[in-house]
Amino acid sequence: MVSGLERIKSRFKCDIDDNLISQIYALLNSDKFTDDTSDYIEKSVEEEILETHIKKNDLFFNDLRFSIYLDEGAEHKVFFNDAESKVIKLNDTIFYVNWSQYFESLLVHNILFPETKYELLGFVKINEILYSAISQDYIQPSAKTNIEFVREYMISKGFTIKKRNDYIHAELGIIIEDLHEENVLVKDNTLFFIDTVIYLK
Amino acid sequence: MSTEKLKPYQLFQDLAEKQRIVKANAKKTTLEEARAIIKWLKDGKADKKERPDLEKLEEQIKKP
Repeated sequence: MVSGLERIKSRFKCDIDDNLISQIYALLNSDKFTDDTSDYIEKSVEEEILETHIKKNDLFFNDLRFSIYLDEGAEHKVFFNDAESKVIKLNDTIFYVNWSQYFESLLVHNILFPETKYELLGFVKINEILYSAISQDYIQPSAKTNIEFVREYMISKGFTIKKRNDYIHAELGIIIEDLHEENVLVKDNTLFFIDTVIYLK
Repeated sequence: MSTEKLKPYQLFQDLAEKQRIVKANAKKTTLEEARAIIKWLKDGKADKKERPDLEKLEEQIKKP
């Protein structure tokens, strides 16, 4: 069974950078934790594996104090680091069945949207909830997003509308959800996909 | 024009090229500007994915 990073590389016909996102994804998908019949691990089990790894490798992100709280959405708490012109987002993976699926979403986002790629800075624990801390270049929109334009663009790329702001590319087996006006920004007539929820079929 | 089929990772390649140019010309944003933009963006029109209610989900799972 082909699993983990090899499956994504093969699906997208590309290499994947060696960074903390790919390393954590590889860890969660390693043979140690999966079996021959399934690569699914329950979220709570993955969280135990992850926390052990975080503690062992000192992956707690302690520099949030250099950033200032900006906003909060359904899945992210957003902070702004104006010195570096970056946003830092804390995510508790609420939209994903497990941490693997979340990291898979980040990996695919970085493949498809390299100019708004995420960098995994580490992890934060608040009130016993584990969050990833990811950073991304800040994009200052110059106009409000016309959602019809996003729809037309996605359709031009072979996607069909699944529902509302969710899209599916049947041939490639990619689902990209939550592409609403605050997650796809417009700057100088160019779309920027800053928040995506991606699932592979 | 090349008729070579794009590989899956190149699906949004056209966008990335434009984005690189836009980003190269972008000016730095201050915290005050970022806060003002958030206010301006959030006009309540966006049809967003809602955060699932975990308690309800757990109850549904428990029901036979």
